[in-house]
Amino acid sequence: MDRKIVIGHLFKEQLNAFGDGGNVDVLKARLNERKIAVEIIEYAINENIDFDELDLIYIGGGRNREKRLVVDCLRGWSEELKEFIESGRPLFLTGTSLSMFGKASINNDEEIPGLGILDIATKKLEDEIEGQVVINSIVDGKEIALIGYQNIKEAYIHEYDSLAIDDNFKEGLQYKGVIATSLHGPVLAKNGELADILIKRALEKKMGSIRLTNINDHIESKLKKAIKKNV
Amino acid sequence: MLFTLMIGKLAIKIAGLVNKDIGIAGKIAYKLNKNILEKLKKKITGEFIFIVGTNGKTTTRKLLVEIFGKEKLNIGSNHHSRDDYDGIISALIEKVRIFGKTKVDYMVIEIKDIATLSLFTEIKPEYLIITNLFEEQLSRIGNFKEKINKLKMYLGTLKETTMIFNGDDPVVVDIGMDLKNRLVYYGIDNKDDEDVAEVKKCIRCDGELKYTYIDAGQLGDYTCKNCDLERPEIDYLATNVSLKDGIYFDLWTKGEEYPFDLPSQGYHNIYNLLAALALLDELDIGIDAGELALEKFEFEDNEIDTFYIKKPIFLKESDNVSSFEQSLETIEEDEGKIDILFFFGEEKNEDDITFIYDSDFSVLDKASIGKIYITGSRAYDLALAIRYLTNACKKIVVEENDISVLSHAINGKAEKLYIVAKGDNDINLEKKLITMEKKWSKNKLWIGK
Repeated sequence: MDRKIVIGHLFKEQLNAFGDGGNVDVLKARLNERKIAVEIIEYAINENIDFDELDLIYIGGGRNREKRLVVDCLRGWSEELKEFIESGRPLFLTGTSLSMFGKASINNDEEIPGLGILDIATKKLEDEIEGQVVINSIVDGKEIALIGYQNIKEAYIHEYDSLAIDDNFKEGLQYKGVIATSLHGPVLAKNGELADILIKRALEKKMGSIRLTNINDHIESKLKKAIKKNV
Repeated sequence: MLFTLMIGKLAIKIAGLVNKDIGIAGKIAYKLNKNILEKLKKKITGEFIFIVGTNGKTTTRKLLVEIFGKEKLNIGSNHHSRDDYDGIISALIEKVRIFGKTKVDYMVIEIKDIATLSLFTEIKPEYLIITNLFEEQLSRIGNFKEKINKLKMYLGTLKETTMIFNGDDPVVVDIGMDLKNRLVYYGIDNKDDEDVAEVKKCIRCDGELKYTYIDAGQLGDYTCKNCDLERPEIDYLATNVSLKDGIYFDLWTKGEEYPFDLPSQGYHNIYNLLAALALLDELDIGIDAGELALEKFEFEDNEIDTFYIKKPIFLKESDNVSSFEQSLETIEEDEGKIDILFFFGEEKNEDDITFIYDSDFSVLDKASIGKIYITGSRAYDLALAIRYLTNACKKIVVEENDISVLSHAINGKAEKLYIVAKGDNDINLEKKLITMEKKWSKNKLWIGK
């Protein structure tokens, strides 16, 4: 089997509130640097999605109005999406996009109906959380410190694994191939390790165990050092 | 002509609907009718005002449009289109009526490049403003002297035009000396204690041009030891300049004094104001009208400041995303070998920085771009974005010390340096570059060209 990954970027036009599309650019660049072929397919609302050809799906964050539109559209693809998740292929969600996968969610005091694919609910936080954060996490048995920006008003309630090991509410979610984080915007740019985990998962689903070659991450490590000093 | 005009108007409408530049209308119209400009001119009755120069054209045009608007005058201007040939044709198409003549009070036209000016032989403007002519910027696109000669030839054909020139610029005054037109000069008296005498090469005779003081490249008070080029008597003179909490100065003309106090910034804006006010006075609208109209005028400063320290240096300070993206576009248009220095500082809101992932950095892949220096508190964020969005990762040099990176970038190998600043930076770049430029030109008696 050839070393090629097909990434589906769903509804970039609607869900790209804070440069979220940068996550796909990061995946693409890290694959290119390793000479692994990559194809990006961007899907718009009401376009036919061939889930079978996708190795990895990314969905970014957006405002309530856009999320309603996307949920309405994705409802027609519920079964396929469920199948994609159960197959263990990676699905990466940033910002508030995870909330669309529960039955309903509250965002900014507004209830938005969801897809009901995952068993999750949201609850309003007493104090909003906003700012640069470091999230200590274990993904695929590997300890990683995720760095990014959080701006959350609601916490998730669910029985799945959290993305953080030391939080007092559920940060994001991990279930099979799904990695969801409340960090928003181009999260993977500052977290190359997480990008590599997604790439590795997608490749291994296709061709069995593989080892990714190292690439130069010196800019990221300098940035992380500076942020850790300030947080 | 009727057909061309209708097609042109239609093109403007379509361009407007799809948010495109209306310059396409001018392009199409010119293809259909090579004499379009002459024909358009014939359809308009009213006076034409042309504004040319390296810096300050747009601001001067906007100042005039604002004042004329407040005076309830009927005007046309290339505010919807660019300042190139196609854009100006489009502006005229936009203004004229399909049938009959169109009466306007003034057509205020800003013209991109002095070389383009010679294309406008069909229109002889009633008034022409030259803001300044900096060699550094003009030499980007050809030989400076050749361009000046072309400009002189063109101006020689405008026998009836009133010229409004920046008297502090020896290059502009050299042009004025050969004209027999009505000519008024504006300028600033801004000698301060720190200013020291300087010598540059005279544009007119290559002799020694002695300055008693000098500001912003070549503007100042000068006399040539060899020929008769000297700073002329200034008809519209700004004195007592203060830039504390806004722009303050006294305008002296014809024995009268007019105090100005505006809530804006930027020394260069005084020149733009002087150009506009001098024209107002020439039109008999009066300086008072300008004073009143400009009380709340907000200068939008999207222009690029030019410096010369070993090489041409272009500074663009952006306070919003579109002006940041504009600077990338400007760099893209430059075919020379260039280095770029980004000052990327703190933003008010964290979300304000993620725009970089929606911006087009493909220009950085161009082979003519050498090093990409990055500094500022968010330098690594920008460096990461460039790493992921382009193939220019190997060109990146991140330095935390903003003063030393500035000196490294200026001493770099490229022919020119573009400095793009965004966010809050610790350093006042404009001031720093002015000081560096003064220091450098003090050590260098001649412009080596």
